[in-house]
Amino acid sequence: MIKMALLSIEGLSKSFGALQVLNNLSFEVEQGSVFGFIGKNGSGKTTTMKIIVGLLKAQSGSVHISGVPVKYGETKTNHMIGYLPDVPEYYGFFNAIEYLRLVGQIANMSPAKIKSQTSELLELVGLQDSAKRKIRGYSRGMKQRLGIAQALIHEPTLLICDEPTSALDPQGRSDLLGLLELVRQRTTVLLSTHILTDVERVCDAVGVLDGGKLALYGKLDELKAAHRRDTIVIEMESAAAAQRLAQPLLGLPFVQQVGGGGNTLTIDVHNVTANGRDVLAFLSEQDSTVRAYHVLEPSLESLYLDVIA
Amino acid sequence: MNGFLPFLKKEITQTLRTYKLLILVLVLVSFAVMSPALARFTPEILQLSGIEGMIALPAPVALDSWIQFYSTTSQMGILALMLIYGGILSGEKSKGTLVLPLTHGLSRSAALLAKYLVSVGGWTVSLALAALVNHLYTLYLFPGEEVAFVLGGLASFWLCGVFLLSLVPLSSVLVKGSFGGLALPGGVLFTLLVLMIFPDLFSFNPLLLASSPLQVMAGVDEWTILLPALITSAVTSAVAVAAAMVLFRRSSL
Repeated sequence: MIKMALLSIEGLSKSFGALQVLNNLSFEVEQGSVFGFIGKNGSGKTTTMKIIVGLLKAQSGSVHISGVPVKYGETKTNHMIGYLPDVPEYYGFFNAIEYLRLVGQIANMSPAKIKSQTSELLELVGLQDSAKRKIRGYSRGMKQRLGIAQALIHEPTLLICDEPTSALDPQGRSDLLGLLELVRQRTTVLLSTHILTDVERVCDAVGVLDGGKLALYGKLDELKAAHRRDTIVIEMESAAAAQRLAQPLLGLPFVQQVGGGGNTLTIDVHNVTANGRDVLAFLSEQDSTVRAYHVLEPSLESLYLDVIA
Repeated sequence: MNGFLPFLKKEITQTLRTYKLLILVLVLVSFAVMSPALARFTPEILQLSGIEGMIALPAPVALDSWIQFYSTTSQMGILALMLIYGGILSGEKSKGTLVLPLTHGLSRSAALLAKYLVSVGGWTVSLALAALVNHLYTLYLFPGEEVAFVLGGLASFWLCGVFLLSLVPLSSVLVKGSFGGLALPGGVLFTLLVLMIFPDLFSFNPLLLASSPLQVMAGVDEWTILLPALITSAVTSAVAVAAAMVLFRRSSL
């Protein structure tokens, strides 16, 4: 499925005492994608991410970034990764510019590069007006946005965000997701979350972590297509029109079942691609106005609940 | 040792902006302001309180102001030093502020060494300023008197502080929590105080450095009598910091 793997994880296992958190976990993240790493609280998302960043040591298995192995305690792969932990902690006595200078210097960037990256990123994350305020006065949303800026300062090829939206209010969450949509143009993103609507908004591939391994894994549209049921949803101009058409529709050879309520009809067919057109043709013969037509998409939530349950 | 210099700069900024250095300087300098005055005016104070004559007091000399200074600083001063710099690594470990710099490639040894050096620097600056104030005030209150070995006594006392500070990083790595950095220095301090009663070990005890500057200054003892304690302290300090670096690299954050 994956063309070019930027991040590849193979057979990763990790336990804390008797608790096995990761159990032979393997997956790949394709270059240029936004990978949604989904799982319950405590399912091992943060553990996986910390191993990728080199903050934790795995018992077995390997992590490669652009083909370079990640080794615990070494920082060779760190210049390729930007990391935003779930609750990023800063030095409150610094302002944003000073903080970005510190991490830029640690990442061995030149002063000129640090300066240009700082002004560009502060504008990207919308902190340019608060750049000279001490970080201790920042709200959670501002800290997350600064977290994105510090993670991108050294132009990494992979951005790892650990539940970046879970502590934010709706406005902050929407802002942050918008930011991730901008960021995806520059870098591959690995986003861990348990908020499925966030994944549907920004991710193109997902992995659902359950019991230490992936219970569901692939491109979001392919997964949805694979789990799609052959159901068409049609919205008519009125409830009366819908009611009038229900019976004749059931008479068509390829229609299995008709349901719905109000002005909506849900039609189960044999093959949604082939029969959809026939349904529409039939409706236009009946001289009825169709307000909306769509194929019932399985929601990520239903996919998730299927594999978790 | 990647990131040592930027992180050292950050530590210096931190000790200044969070007023740690300022507080330590104020505490030690306040002892330096009180000590000569207390030494010089104790007879007058006793006279005012009406117990003059009950105890025979010799006329105060310049050395008394240093006796006063060292006895206060070796207790309250060391306590202040440990409270101010005891959490220098534990605080970052428990708050999680080290995570981001580490992911940018900061070496753990560099972080630990920068912190240790800044705590030693804070101790050095505060003690030097306090000693200078004490010295000038003593000159003013006891004109014409000379005190020998001021620097020698001060240096040995300084090393005692450095010895305790060098236990902080190791303690922070071994003991979790915001005050983890104080566990080992506290335990070692207690043990050494108990060991002071054993004459055989006495000369090796680092605490000798804090209790004997006066003797050195007064010329009672030769400077060399401190040599075993000086060597013990210096070697232990180096070993403790090196061990902390090795263990910190292996510990998970």
